[in-house]
Amino acid sequence: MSSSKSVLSVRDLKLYYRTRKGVVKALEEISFDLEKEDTLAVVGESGCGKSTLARALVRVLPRNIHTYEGKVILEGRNVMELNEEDFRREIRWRKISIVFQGAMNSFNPVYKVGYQVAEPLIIHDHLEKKEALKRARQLIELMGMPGVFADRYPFELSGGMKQRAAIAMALITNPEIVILDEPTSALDVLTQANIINLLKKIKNEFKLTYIFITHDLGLASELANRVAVIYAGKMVELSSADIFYTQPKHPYSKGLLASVPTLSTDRRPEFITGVPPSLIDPPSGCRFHPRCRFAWEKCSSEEPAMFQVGKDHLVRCWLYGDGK
Amino acid sequence: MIPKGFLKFVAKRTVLLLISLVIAVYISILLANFGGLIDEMVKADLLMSITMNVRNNPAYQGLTASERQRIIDSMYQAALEARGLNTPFLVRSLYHLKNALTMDLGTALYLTSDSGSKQVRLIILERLPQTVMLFTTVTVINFFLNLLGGLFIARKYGSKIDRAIAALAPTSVIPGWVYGIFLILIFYTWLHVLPPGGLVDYPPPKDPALYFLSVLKHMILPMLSWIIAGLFLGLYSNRTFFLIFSTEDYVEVARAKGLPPRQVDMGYVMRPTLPSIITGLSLAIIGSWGGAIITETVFDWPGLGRLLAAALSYPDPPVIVGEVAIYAWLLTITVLTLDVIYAFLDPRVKVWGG
Repeated sequence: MSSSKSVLSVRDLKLYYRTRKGVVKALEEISFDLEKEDTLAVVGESGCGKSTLARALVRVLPRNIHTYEGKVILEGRNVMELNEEDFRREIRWRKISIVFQGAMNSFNPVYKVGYQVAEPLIIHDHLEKKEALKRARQLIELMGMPGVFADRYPFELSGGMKQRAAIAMALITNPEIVILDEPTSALDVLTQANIINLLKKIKNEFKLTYIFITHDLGLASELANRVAVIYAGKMVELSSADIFYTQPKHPYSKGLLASVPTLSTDRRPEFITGVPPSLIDPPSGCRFHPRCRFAWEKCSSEEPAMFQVGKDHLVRCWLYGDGK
Repeated sequence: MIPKGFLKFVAKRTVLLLISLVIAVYISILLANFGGLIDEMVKADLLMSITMNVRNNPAYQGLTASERQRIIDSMYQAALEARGLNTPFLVRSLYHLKNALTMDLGTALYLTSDSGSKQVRLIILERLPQTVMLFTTVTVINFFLNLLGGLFIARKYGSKIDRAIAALAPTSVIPGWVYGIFLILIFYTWLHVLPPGGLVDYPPPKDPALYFLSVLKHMILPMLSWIIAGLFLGLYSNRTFFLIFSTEDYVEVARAKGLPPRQVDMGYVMRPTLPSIITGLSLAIIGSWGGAIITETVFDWPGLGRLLAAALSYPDPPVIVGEVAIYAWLLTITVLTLDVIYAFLDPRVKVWGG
């Protein structure tokens, strides 16, 4: 599964939070590979661990971390072994940058937007402030905004403008991988479409690798060439986008796709019964079994592994397991 | 360079603040004079002393009772007129107001300054430097100690020291002078290393440098008592303040961008909250100018707090009103200055309209 071309390989990434009620198993057994210029869409319901995955990769974690382990191999090196200071210097924004969910609040209210876009250059590349600001202005223009917007304060920009500025900020140091954490969820539909087109354009120009985190399967299909489905903190399906959108294998993936309304057919959107399980005390066996139409005894007693069902297509479901 | 409309904004704020200043000073005049009761007491005092004088004056011994009474009445009326006591209190209160607002603080009824003056202005000015020296210094020290300590502890959220501070915070309900008494017991009574109170050694050193050192030595215990009293709650509240602001999205972005932790703390946690930090500091400093009645008493410190206590117990309205008037003016000027500073610190506050 691991190939020499991969930019990023994640192996058994695990992240637990400590809370008053108990330990939340937010992410478990997350493994995937990314090749250069891939766009991996990470999809799933709210609270399934998508954003936690984004944070785990750049190591911006909340205070109540319980467990944080696994391998994150970036260009042949396991960055999980780096200490905090080395990780900050070598990985953050140099190799991986991120456009956070809700770019509305991604900017410090008291600094000008241009400076905040330029800041990583000053920190990491030790550029003069003036030179860094010039580069920031150019990049802001490339995002389709007037360069003078660099001299504005965040509150003087609209939501869509801030999102463009946040993308410019993510690109300023020319990182390998850009994580997009719900980059359009707070925007209106037209602005969403503009931002997605912009993301496509700069991906080709900058030869970027994206990890695109979203709950919106439609948007994901616009950008992604690969799809990872996360359910209750575990990856349940990983495949190429073409196959995923036409022949999803996991019952959960099927349910997700069936729940999306379409204009071109008469099919009525369906829904998945039940609610996502508690991550403090997840169901035994397959975590999806209480909501699964196809579940049988084995599903509640034994945990399925990721089974290979095709080229680059993995599914965590007993329907495709060896024992069947 | 001055933005359009800025002067209009300042003028508007000034008028509003002056109105509250007038109301505050007038209310304190009514209260300090017990709504005019003090005038009646002064009148009664006056009548009694004139009566005693006339009765005891041998020159008037030969006169009949009614003649003596006439002399007493005319002297009393003259005295009332001389002091303006023949006009009703309501009219007099407006004069008091005008004088207080123009800093014409008049003379005290009973209190005198150490140099023997009855001028309220001199009485207050004599005490002000000691109060500023002790309480403003300790307020500023406390403020920065708690601010930077709070930031440090916020970064160690959930650690042993963090939990210890949270547990100790309620001890700050104990006022500083309680610690003061214990400090005097330890450092004076027991260890004999520091003086129990007062401003300088007796006799005061002639050399200004030695004089200053002696004053410093006398400041250690009162300052220490206030630092201990304010420490845990101060650290705890600053730590909580910074914890709340360090979960802002832009702080996480700054961390993800790879900014060094110090730069995140200073530029992304502290800087956006600077307006509230500066408000806290300015108001604390103004608060310190009132002195502290009990601490000054415990440490025998000649400051404004003890002056106010003395003025209240006589009561001596001109001194009370004088202290309030000075305080009210300082507060008004500070609030106005803060309004202007905010606009420069936080770009979102374009108070004079865009």
